[in-house]
Amino acid sequence: MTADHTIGSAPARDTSSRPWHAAAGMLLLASAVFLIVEQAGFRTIEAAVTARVVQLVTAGHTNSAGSIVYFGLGTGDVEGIVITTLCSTVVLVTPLLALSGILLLMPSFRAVRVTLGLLLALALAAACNLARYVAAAAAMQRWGRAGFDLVHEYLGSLLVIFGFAAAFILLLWIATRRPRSSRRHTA
Amino acid sequence: MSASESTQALAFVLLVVFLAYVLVIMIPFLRRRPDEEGDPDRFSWHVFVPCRDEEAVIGRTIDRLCDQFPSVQVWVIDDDSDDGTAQVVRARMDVSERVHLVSRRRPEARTGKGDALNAAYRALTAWLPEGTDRSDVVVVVVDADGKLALNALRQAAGPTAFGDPETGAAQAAVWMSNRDSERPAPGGAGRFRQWWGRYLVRMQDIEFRTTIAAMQCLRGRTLSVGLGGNGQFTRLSALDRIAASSGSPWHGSLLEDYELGVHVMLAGYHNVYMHDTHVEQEGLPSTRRLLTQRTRWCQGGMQCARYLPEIFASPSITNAGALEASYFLLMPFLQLIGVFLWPTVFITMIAQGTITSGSFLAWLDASWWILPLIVLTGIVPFAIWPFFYRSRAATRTSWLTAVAWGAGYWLYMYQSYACVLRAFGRLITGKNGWAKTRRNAEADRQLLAKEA
Repeated sequence: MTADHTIGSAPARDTSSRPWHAAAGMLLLASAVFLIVEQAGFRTIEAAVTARVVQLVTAGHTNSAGSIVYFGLGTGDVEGIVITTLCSTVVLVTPLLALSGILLLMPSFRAVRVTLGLLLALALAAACNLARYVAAAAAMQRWGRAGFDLVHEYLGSLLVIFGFAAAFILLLWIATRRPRSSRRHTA
Repeated sequence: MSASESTQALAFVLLVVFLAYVLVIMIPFLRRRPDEEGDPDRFSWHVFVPCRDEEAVIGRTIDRLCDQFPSVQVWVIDDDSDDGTAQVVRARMDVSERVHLVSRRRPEARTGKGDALNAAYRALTAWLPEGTDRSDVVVVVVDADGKLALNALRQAAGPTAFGDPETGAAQAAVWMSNRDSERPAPGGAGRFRQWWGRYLVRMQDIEFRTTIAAMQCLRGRTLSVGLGGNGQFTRLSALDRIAASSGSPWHGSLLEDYELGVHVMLAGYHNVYMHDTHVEQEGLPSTRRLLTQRTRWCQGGMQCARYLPEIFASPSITNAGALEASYFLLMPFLQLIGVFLWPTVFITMIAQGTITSGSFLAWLDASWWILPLIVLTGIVPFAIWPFFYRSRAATRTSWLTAVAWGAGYWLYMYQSYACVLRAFGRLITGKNGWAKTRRNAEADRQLLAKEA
């Protein structure tokens, strides 16, 4: 029997332990749990932010109270949308935080890449959901209840489903990218 | 967040993860380019054919291998067959020095396919001349009725397969040999059973040549290709390294081939997928036999989940490969959650809607928008694969037939829920014994008795 070739001279990844990685991972997991527990407070902030953006595309003024966004203030035709728990960005943000936390618990994942991926994924998911709120408010003001239903339940759902899927892929793609030197086999 | 909201949120997240996975496997599958071929003479090829009661098919398989591949050595492992398998092999040995018989006898025999392959590995090691460069020796595992494509060795010798010294194993694409058979069901089965058999076999052909192929194409990118039991190529030096660290190359899981692939990766090699060559095997034309086979695979996948800590700790497996393997190995458990989750969400949605709207019909009238969403997220991800199949593998078939296949393929995929329940039940009750999948040529009553 002869010796075989030297295989794996450049390891696919560094699995040496980094304690602060685990701490950051635990922090992200704790953030995910905190968001679930405090989702009502998060929705209040979300409604306030949404009101400011809705102001840009609807007639009249906007305001928020709790998780309700009011628009058309001062026009004589005031409408409101409620950000429910299942419509909230909490549902999108929590899994992304949890996944990033789990990745950071594994020392082979580079913290910089996971963090960058998480930030971009969060931005994409939040933007998609915000776009749904804004489009639903604008459609309601222009076309009434039918416009709201179409945008909120159909087009908006598609936007959020595929936007969230894209955010998920983006996070994993950035977190798992390898240095150029070890990418020969994936070309 | 209430229990109902939590359940719906979990269902939404799992749905999106599934859709993301479908998108991710589709891209490399649709964008792939043909692999370069290489010179098979650079390697020596040894085909292992594990057999138990294969008298009906083994002679033809040996003849085909010897005729089509003049350089291969054929090693038939007889796992103490009750029929004339050994006699058929010996008759071939009388006329060809390239045919070898590895005989196993009870109580050592019939302890699993992995043990049979390990016996052939030891016989090959004893047969090879001292000083042989074992990195140039490739072991090919083929079923007793397996038909390797003519370009199999050229593809396996190519620069993306064993032409690369870091490649430890390669898996050929799998096609169903009886996909165009008018009477795939055995014996005197009636018209309905033949029609049903044709449907099942076609769905398996679609599954292997599109969905599973797409998963393998993604794994080609993540360097985590899974090995199957048929059309499996492994470098002998990779098997040596596994044997040195774990005692023997093949191990005892019900998914011993996938398990070997994991060991090849843990040993520091890469696995590759060869979509431009294939091996043909019989599709199963009976629901019961199909469910039995898939339950075994599902239980094997559950057993292999124990490798996850090793996979994540290994410096030789890429992060993407580790994540892909995790998703694959956790899939049966996610499906198990889905068995309860999806009906719960569906019933809750209808009940809540009915109460809120005053009646079921009023809710249905107000909730029309759900139907296209269900189609898009719950049916299209399955039904789309037969269209790829039609455009790549069955170009003479009409698009109308592809539409019917799409609906059929969506329904066919529900078999996995039955299998995952049964597999989980067997796992927690410690039932690990399985009879092998039988050939269609055998009598139907005998088939069920052996597989039960």
